[in-house]
Amino acid sequence: MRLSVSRNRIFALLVLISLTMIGRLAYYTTGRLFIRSLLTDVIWQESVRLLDIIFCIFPYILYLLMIDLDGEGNRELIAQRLPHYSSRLLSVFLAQLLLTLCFWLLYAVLGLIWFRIVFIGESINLMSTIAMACLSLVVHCVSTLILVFDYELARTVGIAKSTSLTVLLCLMGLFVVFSALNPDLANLISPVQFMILTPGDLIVHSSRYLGLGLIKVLILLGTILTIFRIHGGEMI
Amino acid sequence: MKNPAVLIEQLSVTLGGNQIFDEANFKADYGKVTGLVGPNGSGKSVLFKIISGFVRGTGKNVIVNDEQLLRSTRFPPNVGSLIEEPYFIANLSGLDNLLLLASIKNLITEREIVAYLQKFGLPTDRQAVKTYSLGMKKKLAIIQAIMEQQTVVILDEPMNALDEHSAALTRQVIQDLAAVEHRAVLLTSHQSDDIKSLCQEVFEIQERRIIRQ
Repeated sequence: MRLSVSRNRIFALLVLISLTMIGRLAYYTTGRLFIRSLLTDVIWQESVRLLDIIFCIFPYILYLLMIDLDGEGNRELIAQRLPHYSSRLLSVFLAQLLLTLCFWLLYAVLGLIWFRIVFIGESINLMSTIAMACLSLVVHCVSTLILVFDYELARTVGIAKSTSLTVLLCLMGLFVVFSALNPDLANLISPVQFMILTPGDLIVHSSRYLGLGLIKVLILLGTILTIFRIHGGEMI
Repeated sequence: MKNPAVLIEQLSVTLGGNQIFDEANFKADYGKVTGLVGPNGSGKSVLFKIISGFVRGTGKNVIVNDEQLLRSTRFPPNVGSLIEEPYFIANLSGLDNLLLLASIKNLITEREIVAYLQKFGLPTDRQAVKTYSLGMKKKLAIIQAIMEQQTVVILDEPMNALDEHSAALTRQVIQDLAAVEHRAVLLTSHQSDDIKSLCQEVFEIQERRIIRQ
């Protein structure tokens, strides 16, 4: 078994990270200029900003891109050589989920510790934070499940691939709303945010977020691992 | 192997609200090239995807290599297919792509794969697939469909994009697969000459049924 990543994947990742960094830099450095007012005035609910939505959706778009870049034909060539394709998919899903979970837990725990150190004296609703963390985890797990099993769902259950993607998009929407309801906490614990925002956070955030930013770097490294294609007889 | 390589009985398939097949029947035997003809959009590729296990239908039987596909989520064993344009990993060489696929079942060696590449006139060095022409990709797709001694070989328009020499070579390979290696070859082609000269049996898709010619 070996890992590889195509130039397309690296390029897509770099472009999206760059766009995010530029967007964040623009947001934090343009003062009251037109761009900032444009971004902050697009509101459907108090504290729900266009940027929050974009940032929340970005990683999943990236994720979908990564899946799509590999194409489906190759999956078919692999599938027909694996009579027990579902069980192999399950192992892929579990491996991916395990990796995600490890980094997510690391992120959540370290993030919470950091939050308590930095914001001593400020009240924090630990239970609601944990509840949000659990909800985000469930959403993330289901999304991963759908992404990994999309092809198999279409084949065995008979639903169109677009249906499972629609479900995924709905989950994304749910996550966007849920993250946007409390951007600060969501930014702290969201498994969506950590996938892409780290470089931007490191640059634009003040020192109190620096530790969090460093933690996000670790998470990003883990996330980058998940976009690698795993070659070999056991995985796809 | 007395049973037919592929046996389809009363197959019905509906995709996206469109009925593609209505109680269609089809059979292909080992040692024969079986042709499938029909106009564009008639369902030739869908039938091949059903035989490959990529699409599921309903009916009495879809048996491929003695594996009943209608009541199983398994892919049929020992089937090689070239359907539409298969995807290869662009930044890997043709050899690496084939080695990757071969590593799943570990049935053939690198030397055998190199022999196939040489037979079809494809590079055996590290030239990436993204630099391949359409015809070269087609030949690579044909090789992956036959290289592991698959007993049922599905070739959907294999001669498309091939130059004259490569097309002639492919015709010879198809004939040998059936006559010499006793495999079942399922073939579609818009070149009626290919169907006539290569196929021992021909089926035509007409109004959601498959008619034996």
